[in-house]
Amino acid sequence: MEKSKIKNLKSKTSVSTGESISRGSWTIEKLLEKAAKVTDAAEIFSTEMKTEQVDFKFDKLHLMDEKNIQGLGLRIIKDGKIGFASCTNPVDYEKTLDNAIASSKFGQQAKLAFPNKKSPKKVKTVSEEVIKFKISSGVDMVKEGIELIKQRNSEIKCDAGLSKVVSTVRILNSSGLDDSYSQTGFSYGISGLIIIDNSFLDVWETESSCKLKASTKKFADNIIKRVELARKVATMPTKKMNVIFMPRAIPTLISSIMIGVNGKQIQKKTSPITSKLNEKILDEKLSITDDGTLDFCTSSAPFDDEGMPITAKHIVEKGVLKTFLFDLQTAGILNVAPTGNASRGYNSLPSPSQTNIVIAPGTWDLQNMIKDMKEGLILYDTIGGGQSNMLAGDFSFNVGLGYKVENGEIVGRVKDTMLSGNVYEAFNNIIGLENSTEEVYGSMHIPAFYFKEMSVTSKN
Amino acid sequence: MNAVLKKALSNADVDYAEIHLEEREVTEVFYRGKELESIGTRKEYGGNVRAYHKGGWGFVSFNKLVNLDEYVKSACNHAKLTSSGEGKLNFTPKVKDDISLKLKNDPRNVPLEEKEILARNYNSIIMSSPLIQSTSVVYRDTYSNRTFVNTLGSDIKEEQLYCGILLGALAKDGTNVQSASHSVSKTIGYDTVLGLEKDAERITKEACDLLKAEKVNAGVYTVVADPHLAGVFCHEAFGHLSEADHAYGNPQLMEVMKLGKRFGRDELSIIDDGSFPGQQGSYKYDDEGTPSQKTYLIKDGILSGRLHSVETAGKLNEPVTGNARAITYRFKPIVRMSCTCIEPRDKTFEEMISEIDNGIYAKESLGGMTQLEMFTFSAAKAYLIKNGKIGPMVRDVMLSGNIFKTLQDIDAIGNDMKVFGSLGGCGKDGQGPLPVSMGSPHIRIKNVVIGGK
Repeated sequence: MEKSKIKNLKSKTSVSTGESISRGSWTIEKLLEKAAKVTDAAEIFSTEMKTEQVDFKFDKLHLMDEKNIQGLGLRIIKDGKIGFASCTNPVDYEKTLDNAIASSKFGQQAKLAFPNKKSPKKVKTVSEEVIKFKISSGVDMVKEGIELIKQRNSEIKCDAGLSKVVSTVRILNSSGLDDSYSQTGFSYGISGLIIIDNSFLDVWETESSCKLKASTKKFADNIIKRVELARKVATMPTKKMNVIFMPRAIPTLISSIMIGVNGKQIQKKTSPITSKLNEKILDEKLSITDDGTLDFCTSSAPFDDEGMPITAKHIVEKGVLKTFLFDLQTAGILNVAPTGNASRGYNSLPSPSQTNIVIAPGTWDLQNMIKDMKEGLILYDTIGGGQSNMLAGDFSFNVGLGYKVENGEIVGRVKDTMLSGNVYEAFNNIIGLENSTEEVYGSMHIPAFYFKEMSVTSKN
Repeated sequence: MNAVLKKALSNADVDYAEIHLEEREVTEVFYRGKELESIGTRKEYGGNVRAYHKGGWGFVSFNKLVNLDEYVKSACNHAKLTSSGEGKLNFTPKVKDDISLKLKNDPRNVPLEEKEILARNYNSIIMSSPLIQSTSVVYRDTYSNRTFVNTLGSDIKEEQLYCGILLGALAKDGTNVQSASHSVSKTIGYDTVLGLEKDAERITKEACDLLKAEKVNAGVYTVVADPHLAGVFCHEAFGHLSEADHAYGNPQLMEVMKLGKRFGRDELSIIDDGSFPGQQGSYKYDDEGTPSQKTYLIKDGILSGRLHSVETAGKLNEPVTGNARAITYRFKPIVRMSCTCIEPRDKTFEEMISEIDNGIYAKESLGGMTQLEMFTFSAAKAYLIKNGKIGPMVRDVMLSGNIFKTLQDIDAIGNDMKVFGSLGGCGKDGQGPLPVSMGSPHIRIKNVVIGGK
C-alpha cells in the first residue's frame, strides 16, 4: 500500500456520467472480500435513501424536492489498528480500500470484534402505506393544514412541508455477518408567522414517524390557540420562579444528560457522571429509558449501526443512573459489554448515541400544574439552547415561545426573557411530571415537567 | 463533459433549468484527548437538477451518476406540478468561466502524515497542562469542484479549497468542566493552519482560568463585544433578517424591513461581501451563477439593501446580489450570507472601556441563534468592567435581546476591524454548516440582557 493515493491528490478526477462508471468497478461483496484478504478484519456499512418532499412557503406550494443518495463506509482493522474511508460511487471502491488502509497506520488500537449473528426482525420500521404514498397527494394534505389556519386567522403566514423517506441499511463484515433492514419515514411540519404589535411570533408544530401521519387539524388548532394566547405581552420580573417545560422544550435539557451518558465521554472521563453508575443522580420521580424497540418510532431498528441487536434499557431508573451508552470500540476500551448504541452515517466511524428516549409520566395533570403557580412561566420553545457548557449541564437560553402565569391563569406572552441553570440541579428540583407523555420529533416520549425555582432574567 | 450536461438540459421543457455537479474531497484529522479519533479522506461525487416553471420549483439530487436525462425529466415534472402560473426570476447576464485554484501552499500537496503531525503537535501543547481532561483538535481541508450549466447558456466551473483547524481544550476540576477553543479556516491554503502554537497555549490557559471564574450575575449590562463576538452578532442577529427569502411573501415583515428605515446611529454600516478575497465565506459565483458582490445592508444607520437569489430578487424587483448558496449538491440553493461585517469607525478600544462604570467585556462566541427579531448568543469568555477597567473573568455569559432595539443601542464602533472564518459555519433550513466569514471592530452595546445566576 505504499502507493497510497492519499498523497497523490493532485491528479484531478472529473465527474462523468453514463455507463462507463459501472464498467470495471467492484461490487460491495467483492470489496469486502478484497478488504478481508489484506486486513485482520473488515466491515462495510452501506445505506441507500430516497427522500421526497413538498414545501410550501408563504401559504403557497413552492418546491418539490427529491434526493437519491447512497454511500458506503469501509472500516478495517490492520495490524491491530482501525482504518476508515468512505465513498458514494462504486468506481471508487478500490481507492476506498487503499484510503482505509492508509488511515489505519494512524488509527486507534482496535478493541472490538465484529459481530456475526443476524438480529431478529421484530420491531416494525416499514409502513407499506408510506411506500405506496404518492408525494403529489401530500400537496393536498398540506394545503388542507394551511387552509384550516387561514380560515380562522388570515394574517398568519404559513410555511409547511411534508416528506417521505424510504431507506435501507446493510452491514457486512468479515466475521460473516450480512444483515439489512429497511425503514420508512414520514414527516409533517407547519409554522405560522404573525407580527403582533411590531413583534414577530413564530408558532410551529412538527411530527415524524415510520408511519403515515399528518395531524393537520390538531396542529392548526394548536397554532391558532397559541397565537391567541400571545396577543397580550406580559411583564416578566427577574427572579426565581416555578417553570413548566412543555414536552417539546425538554430535549434541550435532556441532551446534556445524553452527552453525560455517552460512552465516548465516559471513556474519556469527561462526563461529570463518569463515576456515578448505580448512584442517585436525579430526582426519584425521573425514569429515562433508551428504547429502540418501539414500533414505528424514528430511531427504532432491529440492529444498531455495527450490527448489534438494539434493546430497551433504563438509563435512569427512579433517579438512579443505570447504564451508559456504548458502541463496540468504547465498550472494548473500558472492557464492558456494548449496549447496541452505535450510530453513524456512511461517511464516518460509529460513535455511541441514544435511540428513542422515553421518560416515564408522573402524577400531575397539566392544568393542575398551571393552577398551582402563583407567578410562573410555561415554556414551549427555546432560542439558543446548546450553546452553553452542555457537558457540565449548564444551560442558558432565550424564551422563544412562553407564557406568563399569574394566580393559576395564563396572562400573556413573555418576551426578552432568559432561563438559566444547570440540568443536573434542575432535574433534582422537580415538583412533578405530567401524568401523560407526548411524542416529540418521532423519537421521544416526554411528559411536561414542573420545575421549582428556576432562574428567570428579564429586560423589564 | 459539459456537452453531456447541455444535451441533458436541452430536453428541459420548462421556463428555466440548471444542473450542478460537484466533486468533493474532505481530508480530516481528529484528535480527542490523547487518541487520534479519526483520520482519512471522504470522497463524494454528486449533482442535482433544478427546474423552474411559472412560480414553481422542482429539485432532484443524486449521487448515482446514471440516468441524468431521467433526473432532468423528473425535476421538470416536479416544477410543472408546483407552478402557480406566475413568477419571474432576475438573472444577471450569462457567464462562461473556469476558476482553477492557484494556491501558494496547496493542502493537497501536503502528505497526510504531515497533517497528522501538525494536529498531534497542537494537541500535545493543549494536553501538557495537568488540568486538561480532554481536547478536540480537528484539521480539515475540503476540496470542492463545482460545475454549473443552465438553460440561459451559463457554463461555470469553480474550484475551492477550504483549509482550517479547530483547537479545543476541556479543563476539569471535580464536576466543574470548562472549555475554550480557537478555530480558523480560510480559502488561502495550508498556511492558514501553521504557526498557531500561541493560540493552543492561550486556549489551554483560558479553559483552566474558566474553572476558577465565577458565574456572571444575571442582569442588564453595557457590553463591549470583541471583533469576533460582534461579527457573530452582526451575522446572527441582523444578517439573517436581511435574507430576502424570509421576507418577500410577508407584507408585515416587508414593512418592518422597509428599505430607507433607520436601523441604527449614523456610524453603523453593515455589509455582506462574498468577493472579499481568501476568506471562508468568499466565492466568485454563487450556486445560480451570479457573481458575488459587496452589498450594503445598513449604510450610515439606514436599511439600504438585502440579500437575494434570482427568485427573491424577481419577487421584490430588486437587483440580484449573488447570495444563493447550497452546502452541497444534495441541497437547493437558498439565500445565504457570505462575509458579513460591521464597518470600522474611529473609537479606540481603550476609550470604549474607560467610559463604562459597570459592564462586561465579552469575547468570542460559542454560537448564536435567532428567531426573527430575538437573538441569543453566548460569549466564549468574558470579563467584568468596573470603573473603566477590565476586571476578573466571569463565565456563562449568554447575551440576548431584540435586534431592532439592540442595533439602536450600539453607541460606539471601534477602529480595529478583523474578519474571521472557522471550521464551523452557518446553519439555515437544514443546511449547515455553510462556510461563512464574519467581521467587525470592537463595538459597545447598551442595555444587553445577560442570563446567569
